[in-house]
Amino acid sequence: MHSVATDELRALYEQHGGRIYTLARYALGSPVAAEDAVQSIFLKAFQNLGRFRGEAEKGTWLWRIAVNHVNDELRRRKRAEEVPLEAILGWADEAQSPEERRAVKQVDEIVARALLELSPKLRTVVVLRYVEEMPYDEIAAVLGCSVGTVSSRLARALSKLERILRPLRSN
Amino acid sequence: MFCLRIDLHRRLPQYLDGAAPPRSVERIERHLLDCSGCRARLVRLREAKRLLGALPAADAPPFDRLMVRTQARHPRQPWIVPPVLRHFAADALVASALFAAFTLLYTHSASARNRPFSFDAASFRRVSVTEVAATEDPHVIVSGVVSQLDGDFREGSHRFRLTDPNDPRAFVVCEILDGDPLSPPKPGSAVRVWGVSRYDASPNHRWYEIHPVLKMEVVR
Repeated sequence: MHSVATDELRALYEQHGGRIYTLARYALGSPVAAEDAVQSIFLKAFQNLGRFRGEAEKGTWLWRIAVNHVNDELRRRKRAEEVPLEAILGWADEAQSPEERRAVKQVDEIVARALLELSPKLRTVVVLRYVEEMPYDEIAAVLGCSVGTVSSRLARALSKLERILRPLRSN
Repeated sequence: MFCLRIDLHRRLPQYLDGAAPPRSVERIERHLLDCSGCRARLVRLREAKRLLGALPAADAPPFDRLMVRTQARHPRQPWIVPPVLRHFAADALVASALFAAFTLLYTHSASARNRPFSFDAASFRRVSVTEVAATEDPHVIVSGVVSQLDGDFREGSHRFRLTDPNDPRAFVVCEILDGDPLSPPKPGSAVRVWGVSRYDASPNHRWYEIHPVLKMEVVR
């Protein structure tokens, strides 16, 4: 498959694919599920590219497809417990010593697992803000809500995560 | 200290991220001077934020791999056909598909009825009832004594128990499928059965089966 549409899709993927994969990876909790999700998201985008030509908002449009797809998938699953723990292994920084790497990996695993305890709405907003570092107004545009609602969801999500992650507190 | 300033609590993430509007910043900071509960809340939120911020980005699969998988799921692009042609083409397609399906079904069932039953006996391995559990060959020939299987008869098909003549405790369950011309053997008779071996793991079964029975000979 090689066409102008494919080239356009490739450009979109190069710009957003990595971050959308990260969202799916943390929200769904497994690389396989994340890859399936990214594939479906970009397939939907490919099928609808012809209808969408507003260049400035293309990123928002794509992210909206991504968030909706991830939320649908989470609702379909219902229970986050289906996610195997080994699904969130392998996130360490290569520059560290094996001990440090192990320690960091353990913390990351616990944090990633704690994310799966959040409701789909809270989970996506937390990943968008604190993993993707997306600005508040962009998150609001993607989710179709106000900046105040984004902040409010973050407050609830952070409170819940802090309770779960309290044993990891540094002081 | 219990604090009811929900209007400020919801703004705390924005405040932490330096993204709160100046008026909110001023209100929050004024409130923090008086409220130890909110000061503690802010520390907790900051800690959760710190842990989340340390999560690494994941490595996305390359675009080409994604497209290969996409093509595998959706192998062709839609045809561009003028609407008028599309209208007639759809009718013709449905008619041809129905005709082909009917012809295929008719010829297949007719040939199935007329075809003498035959199979390659060399692909079947002779095993005892006890050895069915250990064999990895799907096609087996098993001999044993027939007895009736109590309960659990699937409608249409016929099941019977085949017991090892040397070990009356060992048995396999044989199933003749519905519509098969094979006649069910009489209890007490000794038969030789050609069929496919498998394990039925359903909770009230958990036994080895010859399913389906393809051929059967009465030995005595």
